[in-house]
Amino acid sequence: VAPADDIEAVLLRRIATGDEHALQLLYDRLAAMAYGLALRIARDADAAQDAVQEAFLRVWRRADRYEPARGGARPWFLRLVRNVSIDLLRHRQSRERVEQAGGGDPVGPAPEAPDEAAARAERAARLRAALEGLPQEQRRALEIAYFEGLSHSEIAAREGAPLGTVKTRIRDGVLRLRARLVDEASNG
Amino acid sequence: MADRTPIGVDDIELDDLALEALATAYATAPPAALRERVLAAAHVAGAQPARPPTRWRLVGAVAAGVALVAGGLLARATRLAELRGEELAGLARTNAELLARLDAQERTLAGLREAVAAQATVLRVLGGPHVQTAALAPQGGFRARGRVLLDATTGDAAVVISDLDPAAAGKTYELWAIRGDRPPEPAGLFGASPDRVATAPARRIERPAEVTAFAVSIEPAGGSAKPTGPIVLMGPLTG
Repeated sequence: VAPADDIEAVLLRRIATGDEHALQLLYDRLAAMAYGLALRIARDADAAQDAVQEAFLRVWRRADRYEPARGGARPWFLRLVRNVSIDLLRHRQSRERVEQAGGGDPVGPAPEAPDEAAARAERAARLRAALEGLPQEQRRALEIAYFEGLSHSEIAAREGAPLGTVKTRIRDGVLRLRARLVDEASNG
Repeated sequence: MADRTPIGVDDIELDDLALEALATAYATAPPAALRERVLAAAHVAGAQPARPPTRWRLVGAVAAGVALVAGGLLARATRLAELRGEELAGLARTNAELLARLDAQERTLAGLREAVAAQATVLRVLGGPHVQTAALAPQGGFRARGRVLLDATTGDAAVVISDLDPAAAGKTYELWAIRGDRPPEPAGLFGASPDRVATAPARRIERPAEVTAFAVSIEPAGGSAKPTGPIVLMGPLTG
């Protein structure tokens, strides 16, 4: 069975030729990760949906910009989702300072095959446990860096910690998560 | 911008791994309607996904004058790019087709493994030192004939039937073990092969010495706890 990244790279190449079915397949594979990431960044269901839609539209328009030599298809897409989500969040914050009431999701989650959902939920739970197992300052620095898009200097200023300390916290946190990912990959 | 990279420009791979870990940990199924919204928006956006960004449109306008001079070269380069694009698209389609075929072959292989395992069970029962047989006689105008083989020591059993028509849609054949006048016990489901033969292992029979006969009935797909359809084959167990 081909690695997930290879399949997604093939899908990106097909999308670059205007293949709408490939876009559907890519959506089905990555929408949950994209939506979860956008939701953590935007902290608002409507904004997260806008970010996911914008990310997939950029893929549709710019899939030809993906260069396999520079990394995997999935990280490329997730970076796109993160950047779009952070851009939309900042745009919204600069336009309106009024806190919007956090609306619930009126439609409900999309249906998913029970075995896929169970496997995904199990893996997500293990990774969440890994995150929760990080020392609090490491986890906090990591989440600010990835979910709020702040620079190291900005995090250091906000947290009142030296820049070097912030960099160490983030790096150590990432290394621990990587170890967990390697375990995940080797244990299937 | 390097400072915005969460762990530094030399650690892109680590950055990717962490981002994937976070996205996996917080993966959330989006609302069902979002899928249609995204796909509809892409459809409306048009069938030419690769569009140059705005700043490049400006550069493109400036370059247009130059292109008049270098038109021949540009046309040739464009054609080469198109050919390369077509070649890549063809490779991508081939890759996807190969993945689909591999998937189908894996399913076929799994089916064959299952069939081989079933045959091995039947052969093991046939070769056992304490095999008992129930000759199954047709009931109520049914045409097929067959035997149930039971290893009196282990309780392993197999059914072999010939001239067996495929069960109707939504139906299956079910084997029953009978112990004297007690209610029949389900002993396994089976179907007919294209050459109208059934060779299948049965469920392992507990306390095989108590079994006196076997029967076959037609049941809804998935089987029944007790016979609900017509008994089509039956026969006593003999040593």
